[in-house]
Amino acid sequence: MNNTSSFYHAIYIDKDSCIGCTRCLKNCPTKSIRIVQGVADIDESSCIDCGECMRVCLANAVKIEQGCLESIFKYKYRVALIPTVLSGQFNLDVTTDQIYKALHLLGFTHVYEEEESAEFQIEAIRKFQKETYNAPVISTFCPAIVRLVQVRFPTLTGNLVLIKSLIDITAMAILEDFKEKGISPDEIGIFYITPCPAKIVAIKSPVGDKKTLITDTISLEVIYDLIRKKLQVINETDISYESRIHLTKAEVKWSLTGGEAKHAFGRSLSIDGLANVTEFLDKVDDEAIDDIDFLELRACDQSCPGGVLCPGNRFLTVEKLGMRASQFNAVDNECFEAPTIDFPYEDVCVPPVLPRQQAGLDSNISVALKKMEKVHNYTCYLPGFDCGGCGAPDCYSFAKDVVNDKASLSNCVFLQFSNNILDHEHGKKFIENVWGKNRLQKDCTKKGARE
Amino acid sequence: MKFEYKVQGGNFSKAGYASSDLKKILKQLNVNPAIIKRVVVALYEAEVNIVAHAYNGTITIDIDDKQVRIVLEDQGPGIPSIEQAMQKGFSTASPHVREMGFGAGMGLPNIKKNADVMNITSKVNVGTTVEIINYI
Repeated sequence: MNNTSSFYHAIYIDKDSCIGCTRCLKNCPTKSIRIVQGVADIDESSCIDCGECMRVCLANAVKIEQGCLESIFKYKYRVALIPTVLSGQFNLDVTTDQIYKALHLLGFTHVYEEEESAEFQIEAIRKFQKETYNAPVISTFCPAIVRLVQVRFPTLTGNLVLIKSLIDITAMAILEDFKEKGISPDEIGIFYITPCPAKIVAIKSPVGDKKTLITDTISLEVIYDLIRKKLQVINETDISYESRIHLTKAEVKWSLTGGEAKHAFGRSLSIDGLANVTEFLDKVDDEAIDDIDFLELRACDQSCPGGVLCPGNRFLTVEKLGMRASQFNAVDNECFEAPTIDFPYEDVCVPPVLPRQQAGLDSNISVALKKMEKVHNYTCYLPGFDCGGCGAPDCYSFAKDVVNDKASLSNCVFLQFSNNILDHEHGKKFIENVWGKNRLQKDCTKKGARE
Repeated sequence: MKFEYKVQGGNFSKAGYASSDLKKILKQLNVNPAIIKRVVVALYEAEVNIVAHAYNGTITIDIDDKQVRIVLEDQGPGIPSIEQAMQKGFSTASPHVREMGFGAGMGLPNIKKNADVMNITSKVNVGTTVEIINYI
């Protein structure tokens, strides 16, 4: 089982930029954020790297850890492993060929697409579906969903697909390709162009698999800007490279909502958006759903086109990828050499995914009961309108924090007022502990309180 | 710790509220998932019974560190023969209730299967009381 104190995360708060508001606090699906000393603080054991905090942050204070383009030049063979949503950022007058060319101009020697292994992978998933007893089977395409299940639905970890990700299978195929050419793995760097922080974490700290074949990740946002620049000069530059566009129509649309589900075995559903997914998993957890075979769940609205590192509008990306897919179909498929992705089933299986050891109120039932009584007692006194003024997302979470000695009841300004125990100065100290010094002074330059 | 829920007869869209809430509570208390499953299924069936047959009812849940004790008390038609009602497949549910996918005659047998202790008392034209105990 994972060690609770050492979870790798791609997301971190830039404390200098954070203005201490309640936007991320309120939007975190696992309630992992608290405000401490005027800035957001993420609880490592329950953060799932979904990127919702990044999406809602006004101050651009939520950052991700990622590699930079310069680092690729340490390798003789530099592979860009791209998701199809990258092409989906561009208008159709930019051809896939041009995007590949631009990537070569940026320094990559080879370009492969993540979804190249999709049709192979789904066969393995169908085999897995036939062998497992747990229904519905939950797709592991979206790493944020895997972590959501580990943190919030521990009893459903047994329903997760235990097959390697597309990124990993494609990477295996890439290394195989190079091996055939007699190239040593030490000379190859595979860089994944990521549409979201969750995929960075999936690569750096995989849950089921032990290791990854990916060298590093680079943000799709960064690469998009660089490609845009290269596109301006691309027509004057004549470069030769190995053109390899192998995707089928289905694979182009794999990362869109419904792209995977329709190829799974039996009755399947596709659900996107964390709130929708959580609502449905609650039902599955209640045993209220027993006749669905496959669940394609994606954390972002519109799936990967809604990834927090995708600069384009998600609805337009969906439309553009649909158009690209139909173009692909129009082309004679025989022009393209089919990739040789064919591994034995055992080679793409991964060990079971375990729940994160995030207990309820306490591991001992008697202690947990006492704590629960206290929590309920506190909630009787708290105002119950979940303002976030205490630095916790809602009154219930605050009561839990107090019971777990992570917060003081006096952080609630309304309790301060109704109890009238604290003098004004003392009360102010509690507020400053949460919101930082001088927060209550007149300040016409602050970033909050603006339209 | 005590919890109380009101159940209204005929309100199928809200059936399952108490069992879903109890599940969240037991998860917080770190009760073994296999036991949670049994308790929740038993309560859900009993909850649906009130919705499908009675006019209204009250669910009282009492949790301590040894057991979960659930008492469901309803005002309703009562059960003329509990022995008959306990048989798998026996049902007095109306066609309307069956149309919604309920009333297969598995309710009480299912509760018995998932409860460690189950007691049921009923008075025709007054109501039914079901007691479910699961050890944790």
